Order: sequence, then structure tokens, then C-alpha cells
Amino acid sequence: MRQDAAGWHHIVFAKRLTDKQEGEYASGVIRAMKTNYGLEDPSLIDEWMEYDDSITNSIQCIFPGFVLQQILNSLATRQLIPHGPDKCELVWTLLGLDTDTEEQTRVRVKQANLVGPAGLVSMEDGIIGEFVQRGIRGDLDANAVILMGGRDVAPAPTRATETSVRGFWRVYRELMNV
Amino acid sequence: MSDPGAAQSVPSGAIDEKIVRAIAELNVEYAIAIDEDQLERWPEFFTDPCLYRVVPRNDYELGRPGSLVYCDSKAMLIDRVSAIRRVNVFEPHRYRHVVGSTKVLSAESNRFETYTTYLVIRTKQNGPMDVFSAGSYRDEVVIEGGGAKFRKRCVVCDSEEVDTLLSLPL
Repeated sequence: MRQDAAGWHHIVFAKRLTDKQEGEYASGVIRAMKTNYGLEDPSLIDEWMEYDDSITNSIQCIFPGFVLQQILNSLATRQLIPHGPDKCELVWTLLGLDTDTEEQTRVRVKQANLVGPAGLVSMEDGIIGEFVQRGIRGDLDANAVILMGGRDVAPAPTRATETSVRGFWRVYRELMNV
Repeated sequence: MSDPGAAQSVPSGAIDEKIVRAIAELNVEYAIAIDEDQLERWPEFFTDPCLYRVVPRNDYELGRPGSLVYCDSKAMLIDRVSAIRRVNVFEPHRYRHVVGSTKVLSAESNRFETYTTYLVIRTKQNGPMDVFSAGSYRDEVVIEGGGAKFRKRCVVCDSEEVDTLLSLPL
């Protein structure tokens, strides 16, 4: 996880083929791994190396609401549009390149199964936030804080940290004079 | 895919009554399997290979390849079911499919292009109901051994918005 010093923007990335299966993965928190989950049709995750940096997953967030996604070969932008304190909209735009071969287009189309509102990986992303909000709303006259990965805003060697969220709100409060 | 409103559609009566019934039955059973939580039956309505796609109408009409769901083998459909059962996290909810009559757009030996309107009402655990999705099934049905199967089912959703998540099949 890399972040600019003020915490405006960040990028989280993984090198699936070389990252050691330790830390966050070996602790058993990733459901699919915990249950030895496998695919009947593994062609879903057929991939080629998108760039020669051996990065297989990369999520780049540009303050305040833009995301550039590379998940295997699924390239997309996401735009987060707030509609109020308890409603927002996420606009996904799937991308292909005009230099893609037919086979590469097929791979991208197939991998789009991983992302978006019906995404095998992404489908929970919207509801999980809602679950957490509901869970910590217990006392309407009190505050609840959930900490993951400490309290500070700084780059971290793992993705299991909320430093990016803390960075966002730090900058937000500054800009809004909160 | 033929234009569903086009005049060259196959006139009713030109197709064997048994085939018309087999296609209607396929559509009825498909909806029952999903609405009655018999998801394991869902892949069985398709040939192998097959194509199951869920795509917003705007993207469909512009001929874009991107989809919300794209499965081109029975095994991929089975993977969807096992992900729903074992991996994905969501609030329990039910669908109620209301499926219109099927119009046959073209017929070619045992292969039929069809158009069927659908409406899906979603009921959440604690009661609220909403129109979750409405649109059309643009299908390619084949008759095999007296029964009908989808070689292709393209779910074209009239809206490009999805409320929070789409887990169960449409």
C-alpha cells in the first residue's frame, strides 16, 4: 500500500505470482482459501501479464472519488458519486484497448465476472460498508471507531490496513474545515 | 439477434406445437428453479458450451462486449452457484420472476431465437419488496431429445443501475 504523504491518494497492489502466501492470507481470513475453494472452469482467471511490472492487481484511488482498477486483465474506472449521508452510486466503466487481440478481449470480458455489482470478488464491497455502518450505529449519541492497522496515515507493507481511509478523511476534514 | 418487433418473425402455428410447449416449459422451470431456491438446477437449463450474459440495455444496443455476468460454459454456471452458496456474502433475499409469453423470432431446424419479457421483484429478509430488474431475455434455444435448452440466454436489463449487488441469477 503506497500513499502520498498527506494521504490524498493511494495505490494498493499485489504481485500474485511472487507475493508470499503469508501474513494476511495465511491467517485464513480469505474465505475462498479457507474452504479450499476451487473453480470448475479455471479459464475465468486465465491471464497474461498486463505490464512488465509483474503486478497482477492494482487499485489506485485519486481523491476524492476516482478509482483506476487492474484486477488480472480486467481494466476499469470507478467513479464514486455521493447522493447523501446514506446513499451513493458507483459507476463502473470496463475498459479494453484498441490493440487487444480477439483472445485478449475475451479474457477481459470473462474476468469482468470478478468485478462490478455481480462480481465474484466485488459484489460484497457495497453491502459490507452498510453492514459495518449498521453494526456500529448502536448508540446514536455516542461515537464508534474501528481501527485496522493502527491510527496513523502512512504506507504499509500489507493491504490489511485502513490507512487509506484515514488519509481520505484527514484530507477531507482539512478541506471542509471540520 | 433478430429485431423482436420485426415482421419476419415466425408466425405462430408454423412451429410444431410440441416445440412451442418445450420452450414455454423451459422458461417456466428456469424461473421456478431460481425463485424456489433450487439453484443447483440452474446450469441444467443450458447446453455445454453455452452463453449466459447479463448486460444493461444501453450496452447491449451499442454492441459492447462487457457484461455484468458472462459465462460461456456449464462449469462457469456451476461456479456461480457454488460462489453464491459458499463464498459470497449478502443479505438473504428472494426473487420472484414474472415471465411473459415467448415470441419466436427465427427458426432453423432445431434452433430457435426467442424473445421473452421478464420482471424480477426482490423481497428482502425483513419484508421490503422492490422491482429489482425488468427487461428481456434474448435467447437461442435448441431442442435436444424432445427437451429445450438454452444455447444462449442474454438477459438485457432495461436499467443500467443495480441496487447494491446482483448475486442470484436473473
